[in-house]
Amino acid sequence: MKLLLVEDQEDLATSIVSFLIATGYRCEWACTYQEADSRISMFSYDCALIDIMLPDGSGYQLVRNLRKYSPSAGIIVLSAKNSVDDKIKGLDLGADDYLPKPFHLAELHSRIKSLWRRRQMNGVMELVFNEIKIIPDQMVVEVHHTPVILTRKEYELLLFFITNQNRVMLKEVLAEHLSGDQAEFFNSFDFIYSHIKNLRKKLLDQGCADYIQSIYGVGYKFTAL
Amino acid sequence: MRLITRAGLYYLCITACLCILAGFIFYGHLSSLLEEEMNEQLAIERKDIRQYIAARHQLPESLSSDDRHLQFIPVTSEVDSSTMDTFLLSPLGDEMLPYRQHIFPVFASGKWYKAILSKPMVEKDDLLDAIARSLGLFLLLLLIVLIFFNQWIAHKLWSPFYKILDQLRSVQLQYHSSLSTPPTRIKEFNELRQGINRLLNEISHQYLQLKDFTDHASHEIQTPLAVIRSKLELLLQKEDWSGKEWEWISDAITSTGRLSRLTQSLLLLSRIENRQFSSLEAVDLGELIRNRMEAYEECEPGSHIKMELFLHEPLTVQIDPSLADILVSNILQNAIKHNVEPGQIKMDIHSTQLTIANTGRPLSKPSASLFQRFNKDGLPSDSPGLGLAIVERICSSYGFRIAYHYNDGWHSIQIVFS
Repeated sequence: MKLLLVEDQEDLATSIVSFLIATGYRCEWACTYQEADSRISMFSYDCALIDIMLPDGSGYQLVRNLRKYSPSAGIIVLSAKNSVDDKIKGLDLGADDYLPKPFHLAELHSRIKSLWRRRQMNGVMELVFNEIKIIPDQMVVEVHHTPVILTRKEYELLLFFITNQNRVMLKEVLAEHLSGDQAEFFNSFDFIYSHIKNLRKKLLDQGCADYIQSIYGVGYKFTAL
Repeated sequence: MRLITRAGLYYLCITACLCILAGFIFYGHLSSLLEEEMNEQLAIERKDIRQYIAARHQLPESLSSDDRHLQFIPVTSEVDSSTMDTFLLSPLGDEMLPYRQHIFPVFASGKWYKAILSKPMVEKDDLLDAIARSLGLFLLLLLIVLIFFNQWIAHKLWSPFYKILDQLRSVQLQYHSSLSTPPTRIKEFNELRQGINRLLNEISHQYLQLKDFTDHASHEIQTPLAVIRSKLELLLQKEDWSGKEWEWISDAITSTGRLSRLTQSLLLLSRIENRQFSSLEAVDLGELIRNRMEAYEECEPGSHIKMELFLHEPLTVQIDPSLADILVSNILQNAIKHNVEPGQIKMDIHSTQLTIANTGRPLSKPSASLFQRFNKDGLPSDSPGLGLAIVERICSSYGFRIAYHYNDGWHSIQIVFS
């Protein structure tokens, strides 16, 4: 899967690129509007991550151009201005998602994956991880071909884990993923503990292996053992 | 009170004082003038009487008429002349009237007499009365003239001033950097206009700069934070850390989140104060609160905090939708964070007011500081204490009234939308 990152901050761009490449994407980086614009007119990408504030132009214009050149590409807008207006404007111009800075890399990966599923497979794709099968569009989870009834949060958690397997996931990252903009409602991130406990129990009850590993009390890791 | 009314009143007061003073001076002058005149007349009469006695060698008849009394009293030796004021019975005999009396010696038929010559004087009361009346009339006239004159001045002379005042009231810094009133021929008003224009220009410049700053500051702070966070997350994926190192990295990542939220809250506060949220929509707050509650309960199904919403009447408010969302989420968040376990939250919604009450420990600081920035009352230190300050700013920018009460273990915040 080929990605284009448009980001003028080199420090941030190198982290994102190395993370995405380590995750298994092919990722190119453009640091100016000009460069990005010539790249999207010459090459085709499956997904573009576009920073709105660029030194020599507006990311919105890039969103517009990209929609014109390759309508099937996924677009995620990255913005340091976490304002509702920016978000609405980006989505109106044809972006698929909006991620305010600073974001967690795991969250970015999860958004790219979910966008990819939505765009590519028209929802009929199945996600298989050993004995676990997920049909994302229908929110159905099966273990050894037996359906498991999960709450929405447990389902989101499982999907997030499978998307970011073999990676240490801090409690904070999980909490923000689950609660969205409500993360501030909680004095601690401990509320995810009960969701994880329930999810693990439901999976184990169906004879699923215990993939969820606790990491020194700071987070969890979903590994294929 | 209008300036011109006040100036008129002062003017009137001073005029009244001057009139009273003038009355006394008039009175003094008039009465001394009358006295002199009277003394002269008395002297002439004395001369007549003496001439009469010198020619006829006998006393004239004692005489009593409306305008004079003359009386001779035999005495043994020559008396001294004197003049004085006295009161005598009026010719009608019903009241005492003021007279000027002159006493002088006459010598007739070999005997000394004391002549008493009295002439009636104008009553002082009458004199005072006349003066007071005419001055009173003058004052009344002056008052009437002043009222009309003030009206006219206010209309004509002060109209540029009131125009400037009108414009100042409706000035909006986003759009105006000067007044649109034309220059006048009055020097002071022109100076005022220029002064205000200079000030407005400067303020609106600063305002726009600040607005720009808030937009850019967000970008400039969030971007390095994003860099820090992404580097830390890359570090996190290295396999060979021990427990302590996990914790350090985790704490550092959590702090970047805190710093990011803090700057966003501060920027939000300054945006509210700069009135950068200008869209108005009818927002159903009851609906908004219910959604928030459900989202919270979905995240934390086994919560020890019991939430109840009493929707007595629907509550629809004209407000910027994103501010409505922030308002609702902040008061709810406040009620959750400052609760006890197990605790309760009760929300009452009426057509113009919203009350949210939660159980909790009593405040350790005076309740007046509740809505101030960075007020964290016994809260874990990861919360900057800006939530209620933001709520308060939103309320005051829309003219909603917000109040806090504590009663028997229940904290309640009430917002009246009107």
